[in-house]
Amino acid sequence: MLTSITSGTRNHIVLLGAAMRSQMRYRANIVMGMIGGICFQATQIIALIVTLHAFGQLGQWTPDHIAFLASMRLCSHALYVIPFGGIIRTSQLVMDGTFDRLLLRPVNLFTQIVARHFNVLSLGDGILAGALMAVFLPRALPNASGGNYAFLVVAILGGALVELSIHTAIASAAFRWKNAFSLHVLADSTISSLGMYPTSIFTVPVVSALTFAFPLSFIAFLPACALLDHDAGADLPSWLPWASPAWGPILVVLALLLFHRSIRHYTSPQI
Amino acid sequence: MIMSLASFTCLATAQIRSVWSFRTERRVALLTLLVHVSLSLMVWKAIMAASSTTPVMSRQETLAYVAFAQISYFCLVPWTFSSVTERVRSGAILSDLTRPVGFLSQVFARNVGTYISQLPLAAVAVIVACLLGARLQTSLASLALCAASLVFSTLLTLALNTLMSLVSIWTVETSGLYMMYRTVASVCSGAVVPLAFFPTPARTIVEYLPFRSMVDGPTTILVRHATLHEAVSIIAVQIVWLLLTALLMWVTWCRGVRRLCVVGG
Repeated sequence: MLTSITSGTRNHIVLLGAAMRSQMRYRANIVMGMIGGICFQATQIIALIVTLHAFGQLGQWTPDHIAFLASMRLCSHALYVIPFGGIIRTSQLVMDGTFDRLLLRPVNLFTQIVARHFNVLSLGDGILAGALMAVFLPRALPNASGGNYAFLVVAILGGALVELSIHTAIASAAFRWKNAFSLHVLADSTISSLGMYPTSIFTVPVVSALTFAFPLSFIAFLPACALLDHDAGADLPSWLPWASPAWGPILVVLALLLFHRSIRHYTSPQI
Repeated sequence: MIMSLASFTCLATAQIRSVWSFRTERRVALLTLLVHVSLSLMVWKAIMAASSTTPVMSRQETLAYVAFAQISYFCLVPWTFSSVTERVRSGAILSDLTRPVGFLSQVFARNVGTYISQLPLAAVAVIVACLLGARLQTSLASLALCAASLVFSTLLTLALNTLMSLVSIWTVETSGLYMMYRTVASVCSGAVVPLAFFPTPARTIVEYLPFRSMVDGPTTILVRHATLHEAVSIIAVQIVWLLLTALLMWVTWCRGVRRLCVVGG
């Protein structure tokens, strides 16, 4: 088990490194892509700043707390999209038959798909996420303890895994439907639009849906509730925010099982 | 070279047919638009309910503004906002240049075709937005002034989109630049957050940019019941920006066509 995880990680790093080197040959594109990535995420951040300027506090959440929540979401997003962003290209591989070639190689199919392409826009996400966290962490948690920092790191990793699990589950659909790209776009825009705000400002059915049907709350909202001592709303149990980072690994394992089962439904377009 | 109405209609109709030939893509585009508008309305309703501050716009005005602005932006700035980039990259621009109609006129006709093909989706989105609470009470005069402003905002946006895409004559890779344009345009036009909510210094800067005339102009006339004087000044600013953008587009094209290089030749 340990050996397969080690070799899987090594394969992932080697393939991702090759994808990055191929992109690095286009240096002007790297710079433009990074700026583009920052701009894309900055739209949401600017919207948030303007909204907070106009409306101030939302329920219990002060502007600093909301900005910290947005930073957590963006950090998790960057941590997912840099190493695993290639997952959204699964539909393209299935449609054009490139997946046939991947089947012949002695490397895990999921690893081959996620490490096949490196999106330079994701570097911009990472830069913006780091900058926002550096600004808003001291403002939201001025007296943070070592335990708080440790929980924050685990929570960001958990959030990244939740986002990965959502896109892996959607990618599984590509083996049945051929094209699931629009669902990736839909999931991405839902996470971007709603993930910046405290889920508790929505109505109870929406909070429940964003927690149990579409696990958006687990990406940043619930861990932020634990760190900032806020009520998660919708009568959610008080232990759930502290346990929320554990959902990431659980959901990824379930999504990977679904992904590998769904591969059985793949039919080559070249047959 | 000014094209005849018949040529313009033929090119625009061909573009509409081309867009609507991908039926599944149209369905997905509609679904994405509806989800986007619904989520935005949900977020704004929640924000206004959770906040104790008195905003500069009423709840009803804000919801109507957000819905109308997002739907307008969806029609005006589609993901592929001009055919220029693809035609330069593939070399198809060579055949375009040999046609008896000017290249910019062809691009403009195609852009108008793309815009018209978005309108049925926009109509469905308007109905759904009304059902979700983004209703507004407006007068016939406001509607007429808004329609006039929409014409100029459409022409201005199509010209800006074309101007941006002409950059592809100088550089092959344009994705980063397009992303920057999209971001600046969406924020500064009011498509993301109503401009009335911007802090005063930011609003002052935005008022001197052309993007405000894209979405905020017609939306303000419709939703905020602008007076005749305000509406006329909004339309006058749109006309000035349209003329400036058209001039800049023409100069850029004249310079660009001299250094156009297709597939290395």
